[in-house]
Amino acid sequence: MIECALCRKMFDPKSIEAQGACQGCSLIGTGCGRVRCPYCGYENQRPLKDARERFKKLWRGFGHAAPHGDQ
Amino acid sequence: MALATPPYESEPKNGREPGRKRVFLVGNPNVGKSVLFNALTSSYAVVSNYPGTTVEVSRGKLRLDGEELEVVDTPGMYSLRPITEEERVARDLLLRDDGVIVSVVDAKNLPRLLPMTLELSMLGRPLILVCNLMDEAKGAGVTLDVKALSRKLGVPVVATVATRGAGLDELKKLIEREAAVAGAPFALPGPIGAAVETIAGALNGVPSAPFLALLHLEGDAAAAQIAPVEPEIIARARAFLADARPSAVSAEISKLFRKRASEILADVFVQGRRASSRWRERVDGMLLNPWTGFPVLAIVLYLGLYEFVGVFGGQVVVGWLENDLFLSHVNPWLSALFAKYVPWAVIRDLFVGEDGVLTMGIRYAVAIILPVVGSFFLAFSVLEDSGYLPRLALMLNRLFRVIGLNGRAVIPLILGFGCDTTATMVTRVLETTRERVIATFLLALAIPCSAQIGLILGLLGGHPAAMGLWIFTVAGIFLISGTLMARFLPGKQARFFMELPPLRVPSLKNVLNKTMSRMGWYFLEVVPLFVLASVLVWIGNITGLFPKLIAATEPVMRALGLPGAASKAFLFGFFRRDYGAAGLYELQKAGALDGVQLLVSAVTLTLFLPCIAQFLMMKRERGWKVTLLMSGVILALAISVGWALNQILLLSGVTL
Repeated sequence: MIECALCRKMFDPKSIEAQGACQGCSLIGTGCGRVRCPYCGYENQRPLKDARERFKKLWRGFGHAAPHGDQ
Repeated sequence: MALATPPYESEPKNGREPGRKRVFLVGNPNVGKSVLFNALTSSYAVVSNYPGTTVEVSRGKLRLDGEELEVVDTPGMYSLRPITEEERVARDLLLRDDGVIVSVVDAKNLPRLLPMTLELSMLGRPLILVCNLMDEAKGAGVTLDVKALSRKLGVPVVATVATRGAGLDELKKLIEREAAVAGAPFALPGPIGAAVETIAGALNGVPSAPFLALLHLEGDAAAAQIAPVEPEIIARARAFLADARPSAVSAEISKLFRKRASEILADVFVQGRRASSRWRERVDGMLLNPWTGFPVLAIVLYLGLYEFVGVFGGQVVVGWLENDLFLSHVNPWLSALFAKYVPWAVIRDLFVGEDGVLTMGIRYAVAIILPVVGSFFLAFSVLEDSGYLPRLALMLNRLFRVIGLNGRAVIPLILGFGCDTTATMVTRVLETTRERVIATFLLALAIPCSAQIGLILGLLGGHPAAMGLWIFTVAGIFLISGTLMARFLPGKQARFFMELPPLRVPSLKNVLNKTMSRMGWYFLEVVPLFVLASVLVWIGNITGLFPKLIAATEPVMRALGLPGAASKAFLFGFFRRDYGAAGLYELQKAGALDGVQLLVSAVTLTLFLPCIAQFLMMKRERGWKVTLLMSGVILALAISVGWALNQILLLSGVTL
């Protein structure tokens, strides 16, 4: 769970709602590292550990760019 | 809003599963629900996913007077009218069962959290209010008359400190007693109340009828599945309302709950006036009042952006990294290395040429962009963590109404200072199409993204007059364009309300974490793109296409009073805004731009076409026609404003 920087509500960046906010964005799969708060719409930064996981996946050669919050 | 409902284990009867007694712990995240859950169950607990979802639900056993009850720790929720999947799951759990509801709140934040307890009362279930974290409330100077609260609310209330077990025995006794007694539902007043009664009357004595009626009024698909009502009855209910749009109904209902909560808490919940509360109240007052809020904003922009990002980040740190590190040591070393080991000139050119991957691409990313963007992210994180941004939204609400928006637009516009592409998508938070079109246009025209703004601040740092004129010109174009669009675009304007989180002193840990996260992600995003840009430029150079393109745009540059070499920066700017700004930065360092040219190029680049990513997002959100029209207008406007600015400065003889 992360705290939204604008409204301070807690949400799970891996939840379907947060992912749903990223669907349709032209940056999806490019690793922009942001996730939208489902309550107020503010974009928050994903934790850096998610960047490390993403980098590992890229390094292992996953060709398909998975959506944010991939399980 | 259409909501998918998870599959039920058995067919629900009027929305409820019969049988086994359950106790549901319900409340916001971080109120101590899980601590209470562990204290009540104190042994074996099962955590499983709610069917069809990724949401975890914890269940444990509580033995009371020989009877075994199941305790369910529902996912944290802010309202029974859900936005997230977690909240939907929590609500569905409550609607399926007759169990006792234990509403857990953080005692010191009771005014903010009591409205949800009132919502819970509309479920017509046995209800107990637990005011947890009483030790923190006391420390914050809060006095709470629990008995009076219970009397006014009409439900049992118990004060607890779950971490120490205080109040738990009383809670267990209440659970045991309340298992047979239903609480009194809160009755909404006025037209909303009449509308709710109309629908509830058609639900044939279902205990959750008032709450289901609320959901019907808000157009919630779950209500239609659980307890369908004839459309004519819904229409008759909506006829009571001045504005029957689901979002307006939702806002009005929230307002009524908050009002009722305030009435209940009068004289019951007393916030002691400690020095820190007085301090916060005074600062809040200053930030929200435009007479003091705008000067504060000016100070924040000057100190945070101009001095810290522009001068320190953009000049001091960049100067050291670029000159002392890359140009003095790294680039010469790389060139020598490639000269020694790579015999093919064209390959050497790709990596260490003038626009080489290493000598330009990596150098841009590390020496120019990273320190500037890093210092911007640091300053921005401080503003975020303090709670300043929602206050800025409220203060700017009146001003935004002039340009056809409201304070809610601060969200996408502030996001635009992070990334215009995502901000364009986030215009969806605006209620009307009219507002979304206006916000999309303004984002593309006059809101520089974090990458670009940091670099422009670095470019203009040390030229305060140029900086002031840049802000004045861009803000002026923003306001004029917005006002014109507000005047000529048809459609209504939506209202705005927002809950303000408390102001707080930014936590160093939070600020550093957020800054490091942003910088880490940014670097991962930027480096591959800059490498790609260098490769594309190399291909363009080899084929002769890039020089032709630069030559074709040079007349435009000359018309703006800029050297022909600036066209490269603008072409790069369409690919990636910060790349373009970095190109201007290079020209400035080489002494190719004087103060006036610096300002003209900064203004034109700021107003210039959106980057490719944002362009594609605009196309997605607004369609090809609107996007191409907007882009054409933006390009023409950017060049016209740049030209006009150059002429004005030349004719007036101003030097910057």
